[in-house]
Amino acid sequence: MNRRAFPVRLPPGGIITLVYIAFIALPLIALFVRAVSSYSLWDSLTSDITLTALRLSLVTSLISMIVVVGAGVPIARYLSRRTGPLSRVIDVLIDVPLVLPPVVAGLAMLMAFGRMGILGDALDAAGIRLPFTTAAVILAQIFVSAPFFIRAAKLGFQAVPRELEEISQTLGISPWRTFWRVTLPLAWPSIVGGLALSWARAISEFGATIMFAGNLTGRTQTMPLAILSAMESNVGAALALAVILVAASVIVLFVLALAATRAAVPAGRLE
Amino acid sequence: MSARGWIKHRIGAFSLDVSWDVEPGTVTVLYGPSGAGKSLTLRAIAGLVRLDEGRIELDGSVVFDHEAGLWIPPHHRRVGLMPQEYGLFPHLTVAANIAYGAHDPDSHARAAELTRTLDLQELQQRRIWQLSGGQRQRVALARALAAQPRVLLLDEPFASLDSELRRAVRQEIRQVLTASHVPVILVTHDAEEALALADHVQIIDSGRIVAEGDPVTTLRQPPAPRIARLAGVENLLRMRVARLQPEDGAMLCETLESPPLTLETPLAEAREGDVVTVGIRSSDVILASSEPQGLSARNVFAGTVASIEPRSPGHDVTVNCGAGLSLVSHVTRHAITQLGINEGTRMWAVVKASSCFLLSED
Amino acid sequence: MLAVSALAAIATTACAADRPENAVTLRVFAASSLTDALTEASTAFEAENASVAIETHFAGSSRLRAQLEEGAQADIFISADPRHVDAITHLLVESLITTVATNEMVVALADSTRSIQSLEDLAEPDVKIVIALPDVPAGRYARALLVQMARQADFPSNFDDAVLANIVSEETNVRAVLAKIQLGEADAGFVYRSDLRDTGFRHLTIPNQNPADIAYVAAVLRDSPHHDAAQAFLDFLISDEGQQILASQGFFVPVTATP
Repeated sequence: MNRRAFPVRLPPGGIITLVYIAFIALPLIALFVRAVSSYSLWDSLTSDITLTALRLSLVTSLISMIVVVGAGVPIARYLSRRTGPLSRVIDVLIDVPLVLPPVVAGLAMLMAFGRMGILGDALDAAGIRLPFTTAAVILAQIFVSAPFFIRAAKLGFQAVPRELEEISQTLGISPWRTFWRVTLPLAWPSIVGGLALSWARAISEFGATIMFAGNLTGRTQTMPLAILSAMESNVGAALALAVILVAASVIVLFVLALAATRAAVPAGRLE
Repeated sequence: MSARGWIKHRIGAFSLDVSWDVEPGTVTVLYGPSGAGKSLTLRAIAGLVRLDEGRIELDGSVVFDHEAGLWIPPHHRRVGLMPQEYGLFPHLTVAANIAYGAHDPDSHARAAELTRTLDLQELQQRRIWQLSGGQRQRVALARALAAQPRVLLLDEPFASLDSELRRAVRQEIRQVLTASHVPVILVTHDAEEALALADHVQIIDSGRIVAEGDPVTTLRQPPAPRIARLAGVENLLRMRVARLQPEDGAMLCETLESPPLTLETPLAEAREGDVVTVGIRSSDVILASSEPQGLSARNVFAGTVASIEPRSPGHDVTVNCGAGLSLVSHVTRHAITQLGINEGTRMWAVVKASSCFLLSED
Repeated sequence: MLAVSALAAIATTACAADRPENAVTLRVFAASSLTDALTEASTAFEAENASVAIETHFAGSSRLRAQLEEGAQADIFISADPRHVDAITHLLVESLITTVATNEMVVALADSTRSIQSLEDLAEPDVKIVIALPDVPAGRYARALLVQMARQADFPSNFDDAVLANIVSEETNVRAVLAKIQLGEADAGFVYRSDLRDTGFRHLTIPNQNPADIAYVAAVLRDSPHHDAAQAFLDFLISDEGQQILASQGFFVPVTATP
């Protein structure tokens, strides 16, 4: 038997990977083909509703990510250094939004921050009304997307050897500056990876948003909501919106992937 | 610029109770088995451990004093700590690692100088994973010294090098250390390394310093069997003093079985008939494949090889000479093949009288 | 492969449980405002016809239409807006198109909202109004009624614009409009009268509606393999028993069964 007779030999894992990629790629390709062949594609791409929704999606998800990273880095850092029963409980609590159906998340946010919610009167007294506002869109995005970031960043921080931080301090660098000069650069790939996941979740957020923030063009109608709304009238328009969302997301994810690898220490070199 | 202090610290059942006084440009070796508290001591001096009690003084300024409630954080202590795996920053180049702790033009100049001294110019733009073990060690040393520490703490600095390289770089490092005029505390569990590098040795066991002094007396011929065992003296023989020969500065000792074998040792404070412990380092026992003639060495015993066990950098060969006498000899792999040493081979073990030393009972 | 065939088995057999082997399963795509009424009617129909199972799928009429256009398999389509039926007559058995009920729009009010006492109050600033999307029948009717009201002497001429300016959210179906009011987040919303049954909502009626405007039109899909069973179900809906069920759920029933 001449095993070289087969021009390409793939291990089982490779074959399954190919099947999987086809499974993921086929619907996306179909989406593009249908959207491109639809005569209204260009009109849809440049329509006010599309551009408004796209702008709203990008702006809200950007603000969400600023909050998620700003709060998530200290949280992840704190949790990465804690062990013990309490921190395990906190770990689980932080992950809860991951298992919550988004609609339920939106409902829960209404129960807490809505007009009839637990904090409703207090917020009202302070002159803050969240439901049906752009702020509500951002809160919903933060609620569902933050766990992805915190999880990844926490693992990243845990992988930074404690010894390196200690050495940095013995070299005269304060703990705060050590964080910026050693911890953060070493955890960077995980942080950017977490950011990518988190952002992807935020930009695609739908259920919690429509529940908590409603659906109004220019104020709370993000791309996924615009897609669903367009479905009610014109599948072609919905397809066009979907194509734009996918394209914008792929671009952002690629940029983030690039940012993660640029600064990365090769795998297994941390020790 | 000297480093001195004492600390007492308790972690569960383990308690640490050590003190030190190191002059600039000298090396104090903290020698002991793993788990003795050596690394903990270094971490304590660096300020990485919160201590129960103690006082630590570096270059005349106090960085810890439990009575005064004083505790200076690590980044204000100016200590150079070099951990076993060197703790180099993988995201930085060699040059950035060395300059990491350099805080003023002076220390930047020092970093440049150390880069030259330690022969690291060619490697400056490399990343850490592109370096060999010996190169990493030099980078770590340069980095620690460039920050102009008031004490240099080296934790098993040669442990991750292979044995050939270890010997080669030891002297080079020794020179750099002496030239740096920094007090150095070096931790090791390797007696040979301690002997090669130390100006002063402290033997630490279970958190306590059990012996200290100059390296040769403390490690070559340690005063008590327990310390001898710690110091890696492989042959500890229970013998009876048979005859004192003050005129030769020698005495004869016999094994406890009859008919006894006789061993000549240097004269020590003992009376005839006393049972004593005699220590001989395995590296001081010479093996011969045929009966040696015309030797100055006083002690020659015939025996058979009982076992051969590898121990870096060579092998421990145990020769059973009968009458309750077994001697362990440390020989190279090369010697084993050349002499044709196998289990059961007939060999002669040779020991100079001056290599034997008497251990006081403890 | 095992997983795939298991998946196929699940996909094809999930709904056929508890039925005789030669049973017919009718898949009914219906406007979401019909949820309660049609569920009750299906149960009654199944009780009388052991060999037929009804499988209902509720969503906004426009989405159902879009799904049918994309080739979704169904036997019956019941739209809350005749226009969605008219748009896809090429997919339907035209002779079997039947109006099964009519409805009217009302303004549902949240419990917490006391400031709204009349339709005119909807134009006050700071009132939060939810409405269905303009492409959903309920949204289209509601907007048409606002324009109609603005033309009437009892209302200011900019009434429709003032109300539309108060909209805080456009929902994809009437049930979602109702949910926002039920949660107290919105003050008022345009819904069907039938949606208010059992809920005890306060509501305002909108005058001068034409009962034929909001007509629930049922049709049998041309591709359906079960035309007879489908027709039997439609006949049941317009029978006295079926009409009684619809009426009990707050629908108006047609004066004449077939248009």
